Amino acid sequence: MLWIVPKEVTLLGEPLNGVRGITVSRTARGVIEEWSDLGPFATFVDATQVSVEVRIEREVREEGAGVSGGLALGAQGELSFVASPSGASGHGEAVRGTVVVTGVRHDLAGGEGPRQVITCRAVSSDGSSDPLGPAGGGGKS
Amino acid sequence: MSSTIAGQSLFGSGPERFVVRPVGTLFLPPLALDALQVTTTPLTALEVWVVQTGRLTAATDAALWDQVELIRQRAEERLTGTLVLPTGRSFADMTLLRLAPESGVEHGRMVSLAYRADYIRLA
Repeated sequence: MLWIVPKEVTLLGEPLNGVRGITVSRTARGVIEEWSDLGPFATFVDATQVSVEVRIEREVREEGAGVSGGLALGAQGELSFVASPSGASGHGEAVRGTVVVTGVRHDLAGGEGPRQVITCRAVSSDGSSDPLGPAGGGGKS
Repeated sequence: MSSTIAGQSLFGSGPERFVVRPVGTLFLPPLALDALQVTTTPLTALEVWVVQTGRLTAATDAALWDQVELIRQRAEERLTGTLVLPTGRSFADMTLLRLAPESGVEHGRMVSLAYRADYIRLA
């Protein structure tokens, strides 16, 4: 999933300004693959462990650490934002979930000015509910 | 097509594979008993032993454990009959003796459980 210029982004209770985009990537960490005695091809495949990575890219407008400069790796809290795929809609979907910060990176490369990239892993409340979804309740994975 | 034992398909919900354990004669190799045993000692014919591995699958935990419970009952009853593999190969007079989960229950698109089952042609 990709959200360009989401609005009202908050991370661990703090507002996050200048967010250019948020991406969510889902990767199977545990894959079951089974074969039969009848041929070379797998007859059963399932993804039993799923990792949800959230990547937040933002412009750095302030000098020094900034609001998110103090993010501790491993810190857990809520990420919420209003998704507006076109960047123009006033009726975007609210997205919310619990995340753990796994990386904070800064760079000066590119022509769009300094940027900060925050990576997180989403945490499910019970292991079966999708950890990131519409505010008010995620769906089953 | 899934395997059957005594005409019953117990493992048809998921993939299954079969291995035939050693056949022939059970023997003691030299020095198995003591230092004076210097030659191989044949004992008796090996029992025919077939090991099945695979994965039971279901839509829910309850449906999965229903399958496990049924197989447990059949193993405790020593269900005996012809074991027919998906390949068509068959083994007469085999007894289902044991079902052993090989891991925890996995939850993905399906609920599933890896297992091992043992069939032996009892003397």
